[in-house]
Amino acid sequence: MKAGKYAELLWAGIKLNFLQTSWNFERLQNIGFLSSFIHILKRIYKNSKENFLLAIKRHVGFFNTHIFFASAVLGVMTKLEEEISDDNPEAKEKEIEGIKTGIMGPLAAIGDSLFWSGIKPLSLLIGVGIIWLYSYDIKVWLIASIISVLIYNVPRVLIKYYLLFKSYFQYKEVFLLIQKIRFQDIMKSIKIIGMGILGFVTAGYLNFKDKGIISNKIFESFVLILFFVFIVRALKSKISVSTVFLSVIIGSIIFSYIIVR
Amino acid sequence: METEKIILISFLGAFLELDGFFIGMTLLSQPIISGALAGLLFNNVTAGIFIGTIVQLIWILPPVGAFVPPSSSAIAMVTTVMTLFFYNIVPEADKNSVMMFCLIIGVAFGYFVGQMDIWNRRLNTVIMHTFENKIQQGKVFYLYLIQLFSFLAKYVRDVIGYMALFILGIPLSITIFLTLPSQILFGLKLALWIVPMIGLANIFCLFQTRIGSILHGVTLFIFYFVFMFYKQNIAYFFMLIILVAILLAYDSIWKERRVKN
Repeated sequence: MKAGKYAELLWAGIKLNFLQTSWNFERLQNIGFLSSFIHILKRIYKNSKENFLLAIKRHVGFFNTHIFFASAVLGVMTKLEEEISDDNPEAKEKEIEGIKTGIMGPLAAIGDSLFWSGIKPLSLLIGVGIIWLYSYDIKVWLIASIISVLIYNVPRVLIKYYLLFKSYFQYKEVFLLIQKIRFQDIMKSIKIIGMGILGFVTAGYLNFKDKGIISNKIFESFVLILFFVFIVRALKSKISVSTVFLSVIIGSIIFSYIIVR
Repeated sequence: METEKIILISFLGAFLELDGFFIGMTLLSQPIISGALAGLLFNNVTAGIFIGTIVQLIWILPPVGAFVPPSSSAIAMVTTVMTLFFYNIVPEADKNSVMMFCLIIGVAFGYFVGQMDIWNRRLNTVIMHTFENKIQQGKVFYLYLIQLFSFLAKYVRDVIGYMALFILGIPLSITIFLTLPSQILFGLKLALWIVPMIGLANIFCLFQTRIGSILHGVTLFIFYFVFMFYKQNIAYFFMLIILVAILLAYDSIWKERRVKN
């Protein structure tokens, strides 16, 4: 029985990979979410088409959370659909809707900061760093890519499926767990580790590669560090990277018109 | 042969695009990988890896909610393919200028792909409304149909986009490049020299914390001078710096919190 539940949830988890395929501006990930666990709804309401249609109506509404943390919502929703009685459809809808809305937002915030501002940049920085510090050789690239992909995907898969099963089998505990895990501290730790690696990679980049613009390496590094400081200041003033990129091109062309005759 | 490769790279590029937001988000579409794959296909993997690493750190943020950044995968692929086409025509001295010129085209195309994703999302809204009644009647098949349609719309659209760019854009951009004056060529070379600093600065801003900034400065300073005289055992140094950063993060966040508790 439990193995069947695991298989059912696992299949829903796999389908969650398509959560954003039909992302739309009105209800965001609703189609992806509903299609991920429609087979579970079918099983729950196999004896009542009317309740099945009500469940579809409940979940075709707005849905938006982080793609990897959506599994926690899915697990909780499955449990609630099973446990809450169908005697009072209005009350059921209200309760499910309330809980769904209540957990989507915090999970989205946690996921966005943990993955998009933490694990993803860290893993790619390590990959890029390995290549810059060693060489642009295919073997180095392969090792760097594998390391990056693993650093990012191992926590991705573990968090996603752990939350999926935990939120179904111990769904009350999952709220406590999310409150208990110190995501802010984890984020701070990732950032400190990232900054250490960034300093190391920058030192290697400035030293190892022959960039061929200024012959004196120390002076060249000094000028590049100055650019680095200017760009950091620009990005801190909310100027986008694309604007900075464009400014660098325009500035370089103007400068070359001044010095090249 | 080149035509076959263009067709192949268009299909591959569009396929990798799907991973960027629509399916999975596994990191396989990241420039560090897509740039190298494009290089591999066009017999110059080194150029592809180089371009991939530069693009990677600059456009690292994925689409979040309604925010749609330029497609970094498209930037890396287009830049690599176009650069390698140019390499057969331009003299050795202009190769860095060519790369920067192609990077500009790549960024423009990356923005176009991002814009196409916005159109796709609008289309998804229309499709959802078209079939919503059917779904609410319990016709589950339409859920999958919507997803399949969105998936195919994105894929076919990107394949056409890539093909159109390569077939029309390569001859046109070669013609433009060959007419550029030496000042602009030098300006482009200069810009390519500065551009990696944008990526490093971008990561700096993403990870910046008070302790992290100190660690970054100290690491950069120490290893810049270490690497000037000693370039062996980078892996040990890399591991050492990760260990130091982990200990620092533990000491400044976790240990402090444990003492408080």
